[in-house]
Amino acid sequence: MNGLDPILHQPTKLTVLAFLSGCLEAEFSVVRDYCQVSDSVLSKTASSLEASGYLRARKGYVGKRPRTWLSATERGRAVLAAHLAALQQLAAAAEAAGAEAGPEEG
Amino acid sequence: MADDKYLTHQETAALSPAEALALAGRARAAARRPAPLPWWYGPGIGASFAAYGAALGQSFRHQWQWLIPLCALGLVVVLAVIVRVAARASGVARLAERGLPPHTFPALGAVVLVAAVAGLATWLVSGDQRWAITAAGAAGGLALWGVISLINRQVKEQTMSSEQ
Repeated sequence: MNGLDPILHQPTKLTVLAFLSGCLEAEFSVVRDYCQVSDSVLSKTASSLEASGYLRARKGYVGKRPRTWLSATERGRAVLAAHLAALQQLAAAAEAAGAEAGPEEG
Repeated sequence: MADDKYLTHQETAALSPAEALALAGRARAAARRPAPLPWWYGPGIGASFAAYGAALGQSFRHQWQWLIPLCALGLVVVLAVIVRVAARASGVARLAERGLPPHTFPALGAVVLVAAVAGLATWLVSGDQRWAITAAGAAGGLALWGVISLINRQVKEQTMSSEQ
């Protein structure tokens, strides 16, 4: 279907991008804790999304401690919006089909 | 690793459109949830305004007109740094909300009123422009601190109730 992005079929990638689309940027550990994944898994997921141009990683410091900040790019936000709109259409279509099939069964 | 297993399960699990929408909706809502500001935010903003008032008072007292725009510039720079660091203190820099938060105008009105009353009272008592402006800055800063503390308390209560 038009608008669906195969990359965002993976739940972790969808969750990470959706989380980042709700804010300007978020620290790596906050995203990791929300998604309930390990550092390495989030690192791989973020790298994959970054390679697709959906995510930007920024290195920074808080005092002397290094911090990585993740943010959704404009492209990532647009792709996610299109993906969610397509999912909504699918869900609505499925609901309509279920409503049509319902009375026949009864 | 357990988390890796969790992800592997997630990667292979096919979500229905409704499940995927719910997952994305929850993630977005979690990122948008307001977080309390750090403890130093209110005192920092208040002290900045108090220092601004004191510097402005000295500028008027000594007729250092050139210092007045520098004071304003200094205040803007300090406030920008405080707001930027505070916004990222929780680990999530939130999107700016459209429009002003509720009760902004009454809160600002109260701060301006407190500063004006303090400045006027000091001027009536001392007759010194320098102390009047300093008092206005200090009182305005304290009032801002109080307003920020109230807002912070409301956000904390909202966060606790949403977690429950």
